[in-house]
Amino acid sequence: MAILRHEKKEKAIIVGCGRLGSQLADLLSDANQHVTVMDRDDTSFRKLSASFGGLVLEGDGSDFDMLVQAGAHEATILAATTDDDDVNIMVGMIAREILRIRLVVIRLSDTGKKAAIADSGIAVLSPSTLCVEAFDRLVRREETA
Amino acid sequence: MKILLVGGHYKAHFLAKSLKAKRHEVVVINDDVEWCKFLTNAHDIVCVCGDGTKPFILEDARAAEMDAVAAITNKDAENLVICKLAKKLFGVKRTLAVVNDPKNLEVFTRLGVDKSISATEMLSEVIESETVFAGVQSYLPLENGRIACLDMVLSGDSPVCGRALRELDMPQGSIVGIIVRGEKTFVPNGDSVLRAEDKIIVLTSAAAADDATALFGADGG
Repeated sequence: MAILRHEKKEKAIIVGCGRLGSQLADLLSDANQHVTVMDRDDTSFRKLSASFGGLVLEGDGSDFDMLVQAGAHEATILAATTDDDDVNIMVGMIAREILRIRLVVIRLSDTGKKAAIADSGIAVLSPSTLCVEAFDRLVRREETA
Repeated sequence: MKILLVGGHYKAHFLAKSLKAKRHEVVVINDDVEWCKFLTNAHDIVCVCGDGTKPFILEDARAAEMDAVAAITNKDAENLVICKLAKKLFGVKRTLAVVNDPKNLEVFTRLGVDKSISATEMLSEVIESETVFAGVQSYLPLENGRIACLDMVLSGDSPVCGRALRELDMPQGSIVGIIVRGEKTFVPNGDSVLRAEDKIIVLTSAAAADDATALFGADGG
């Protein structure tokens, strides 16, 4: 089983090694995927766990050449998780529309900006929306209890 | 035309001035309150104070009514978001963006921005055209430099003076588009005879630009 999973390795790129990006990178690394994490600031990589087995690359993920250097042209997963919504949108669009990466996920704090990438096939993770959904589930559970 | 300028400090100021002078209607979005006050007073224009990458600010500036939106902040990612929102959310026909990294010229075009401009790229084109084509009064690169529009004045000792266009050995891919003679401007045909002091506008592929300038004796003086 472990060998099978090993063969199914996918290449993932995480742009932005903050709290979210570093945890995503750890998750994928623990699942035995090829992971490359990018961040403009190399001290950010300290957030990665000691068991992290992927690569780190210091650089700006919205720079096309840097993305290519990170191997984005052969990646199947890309997550843009910097603290800047505009940068995440730009990275997401380059990944999806130019590099044709299969699964592109970006974090957006301001959900209003989703309109900029409508119909592009980019998945959006919005912390506030996710919190509201979780909150809603908690309330419902209390009501039914 | 109704034009919305988003971001930019002096760029917004000078663009507003020049567009107003050409009788365009200008609206500005800027996140600096003091600069908004200054722009409103200086140009008598509507100025919305806020972050132009936010949909509600674009709505306040009536983005949907605009013929063109120009994103001129100093961050490329912001300019991309502004153009995409203008297009997708407000149906703006023409979007323009300033790019700080010349590499993003191609990236933005592929991502659906109608026109992107790089100051660095333009500066290098100007420097190049100044050095390569001495004698040409102006050199306007089009389509990212694949085509050029040359503006030349024929001196008296140019070998082409007194000859009809059909007699000239024009390089493949170039054509004399317009002749300006004194007050007169006309589109020439093969029988048009060139005279000294004629100003000619030549459209040419980048590859034929050197041969075209040489033919008209622009760099020989």
